[in-house]
Amino acid sequence: MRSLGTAFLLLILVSLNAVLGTRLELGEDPIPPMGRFLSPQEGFWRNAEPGASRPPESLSIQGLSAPVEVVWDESGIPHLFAQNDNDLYRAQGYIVASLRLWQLDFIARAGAGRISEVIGEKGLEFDRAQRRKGMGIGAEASTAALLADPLMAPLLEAYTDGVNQYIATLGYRDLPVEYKLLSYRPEAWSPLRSVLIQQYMIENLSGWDRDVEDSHARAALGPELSELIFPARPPGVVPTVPTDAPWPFVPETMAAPVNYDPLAAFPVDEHRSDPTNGSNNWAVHGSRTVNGKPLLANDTHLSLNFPSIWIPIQLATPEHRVFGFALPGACGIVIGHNDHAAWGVTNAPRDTRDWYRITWQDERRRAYRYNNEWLPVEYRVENYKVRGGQMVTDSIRITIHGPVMYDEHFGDTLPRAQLALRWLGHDPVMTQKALYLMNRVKGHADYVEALRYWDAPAQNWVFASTSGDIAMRVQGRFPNKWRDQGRFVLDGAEPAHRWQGWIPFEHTATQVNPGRGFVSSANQHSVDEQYPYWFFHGHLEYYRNRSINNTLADMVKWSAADMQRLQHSSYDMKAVEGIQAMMPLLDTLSFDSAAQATYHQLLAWNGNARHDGEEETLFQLWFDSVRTALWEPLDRNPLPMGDPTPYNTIRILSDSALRNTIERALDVDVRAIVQRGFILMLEEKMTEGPMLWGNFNNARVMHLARIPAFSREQLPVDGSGTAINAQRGNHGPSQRIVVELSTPPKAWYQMPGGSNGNPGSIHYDDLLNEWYTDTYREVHFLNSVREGVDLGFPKTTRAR
Amino acid sequence: MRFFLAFLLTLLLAWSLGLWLPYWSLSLAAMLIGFLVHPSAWKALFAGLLAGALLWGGLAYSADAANTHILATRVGALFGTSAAGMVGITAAFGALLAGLGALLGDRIRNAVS
Repeated sequence: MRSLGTAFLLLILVSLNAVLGTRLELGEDPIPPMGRFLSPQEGFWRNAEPGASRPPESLSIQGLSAPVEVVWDESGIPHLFAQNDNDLYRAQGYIVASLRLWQLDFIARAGAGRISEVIGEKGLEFDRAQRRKGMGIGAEASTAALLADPLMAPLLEAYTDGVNQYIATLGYRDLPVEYKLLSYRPEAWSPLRSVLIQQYMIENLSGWDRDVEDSHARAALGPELSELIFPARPPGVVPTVPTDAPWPFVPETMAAPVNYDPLAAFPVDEHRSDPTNGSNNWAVHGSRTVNGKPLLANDTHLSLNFPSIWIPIQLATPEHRVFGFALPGACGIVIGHNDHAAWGVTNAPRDTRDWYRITWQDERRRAYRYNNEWLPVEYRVENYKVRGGQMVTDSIRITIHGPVMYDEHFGDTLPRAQLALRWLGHDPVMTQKALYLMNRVKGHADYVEALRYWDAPAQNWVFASTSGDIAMRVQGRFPNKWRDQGRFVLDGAEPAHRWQGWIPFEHTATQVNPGRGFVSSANQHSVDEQYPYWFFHGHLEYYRNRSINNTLADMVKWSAADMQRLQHSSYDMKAVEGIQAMMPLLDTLSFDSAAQATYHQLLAWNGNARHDGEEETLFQLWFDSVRTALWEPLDRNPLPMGDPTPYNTIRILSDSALRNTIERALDVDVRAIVQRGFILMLEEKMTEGPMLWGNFNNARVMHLARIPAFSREQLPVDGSGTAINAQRGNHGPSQRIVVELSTPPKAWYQMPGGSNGNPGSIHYDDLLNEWYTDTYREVHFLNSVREGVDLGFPKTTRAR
Repeated sequence: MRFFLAFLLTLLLAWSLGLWLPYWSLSLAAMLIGFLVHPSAWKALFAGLLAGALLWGGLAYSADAANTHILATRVGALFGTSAAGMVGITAAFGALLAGLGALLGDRIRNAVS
């Protein structure tokens, strides 16, 4: 009896320990293995970094040819000093992994479409879409290209080795807390995984089009009306690079095939990236600055996440030193400055994503029509190891154009001709080489040469040098298209509909030291109609770019502090122009006193979208209901057309002739719609109480795994999606930098988070509160380890 | 006296094993001490409970204090509690793992002797 009780107790104890070491799948959120997770000697407590702790005094990096030293500044930003490039990037891999391993691993998985391996069934749809749009095709091609490059291959291998050496030091107790919480282990790093993060960024920034919707609009509305509602180039646009003088080259433009007839009736792509991923950048010539040195500014608008997408870092060898923002997985920095120059990027929208209608031979869909022949499809087989579920297998049809993304097995429920996707993201890109060269530029000529390798995602590269040059270059690999090519769904059977070649590098739109004394970009149209090549994108920016240009043109002399203030401007030109367009259409005679008060409140507003003000909310509610009602007839059409842009909506509201055309064509009453929108907004205001913009906008920074407790919400941030301070919900300025091109350059930065990805580090979000305001930190652009130590910064040494 | 000895030795052994072994070493340490020191069943249980609570709670408390509650506040929010709550939960799990281990050690000693 006694031994029976003991055996029972033993059973209980063993079971208890086993259960506490197991991840439990109960309901929505699995429970981590609680024994391991809570144990202060191995669980999450180990990730609670002592606030005043100093970084490790030495690191065990093998394979260095000379010592590497790291100094950590007050923001926890590492400053790496190596003796050669190979050591530098090996150490960068190691240090970045020590700060951001879980993030590296997770984004590489997202790029590859392997999230379901970690989060289970709920990630499968995303994973399948990622693979079916051809993420793997592009990443594999780019990896092969980089590893075939004698300069880049060893550097990428060194970085990879650095990450893997760090992973090798980790037992369970040293893992980032996310692994403990979600209960899995990091996977070995590889050059492909670095490229998958780059691929993820390419998708983020060029993974959107509206070809199908534009085809539907053209078919349903005819060429004239569809061009009025969905114009390729509405009046009033100021391009990134205006034509100041005749273009100094002989264009090699393409002629459109005569029989071209846009096609229609297709499923709409439901897995596009956010087209509002954008940015601001500008540079001001020394002739227009207070101290005669050029100034450069850049802020990049992306989803705001923890850990921050950007990794602030200084990298130095005896040949060069550079400070700026790196991306996880990539050698060098993307945005920043060295001793001679500064550079930054904004997304340059361009239609590099086209859909081809496939004519199948029969219902088995194994062969398709091309150039009067039947070509066999190839298959790409993808396996998904869904966590806690079964292995899912998917075979994707690949045509000469690219993958057939939607078919009878994925999303396309209608039995119709299917579409193949041709996307620049399928092609090999050498952007990492461009970054390597950019990190070492000495002047404008080097910057141009570095960008020879910048294939994708297309960016507006702003540049300023200590020798006084400023420049802007719309850089990417652009298919040389005939007019309207790829704006609508193309015919996959027609050779003339394929991409025929590329716009030559020498014909890139660029601007150097223009007469106006500044260059700027904000994701607007890249060029005007005098640029000889066809330019198109379905989502372009219409407000921030004009706000920036107007402000830069108005002010006579600029200082770095002025630039910082401009980055924080919450002036919403869309709201101002929208109110100006709608106000005159109101019948105010029927207004009661509450309506009168709101009317005058909006009339008196200066257009600044303050988080503690109401006006931005009132405008957005009013304008949104006007847009919805005005374009509602389009939604009734069985062919989805998407939403006309706010810019074009306001243009039509402002012009009585255009209003009349729309009223006749769509059978709507614009004045009645505007009036009703105002009343609806007013009713909401009366019932809901104060309509503070901050509450509506809910500025927030979300943890990548959507763990609410690791996120920060309801942040007191001014701005809106169309203000220079482009803060919209979970989206906004993901870093800000201002550089003064003195010798050596001085720089100031901000970011909505911190340098460290560990939620248990003070540097996880220590920079967030300053990011709300125009308080910037000055960059420590260190000459040496000695200089950092003299400033009181802790140092980490790796004696070889 | 045996109670105090069992408590102290459990604390020391559990801490030492925990430097190398996973969480279950807490139960193991308590069991070994319960077996070797062999106080009465109740004393073994309470010595284990107390040692486990104090070891895990104490380590968690000091980690939390040094971290100025940053991480425990975030993780606590996940579990619907505060940083102090996380210290308490950790101590409770420690108590449970060590207490049952100590009792088992004591029972085994009884069974074999």
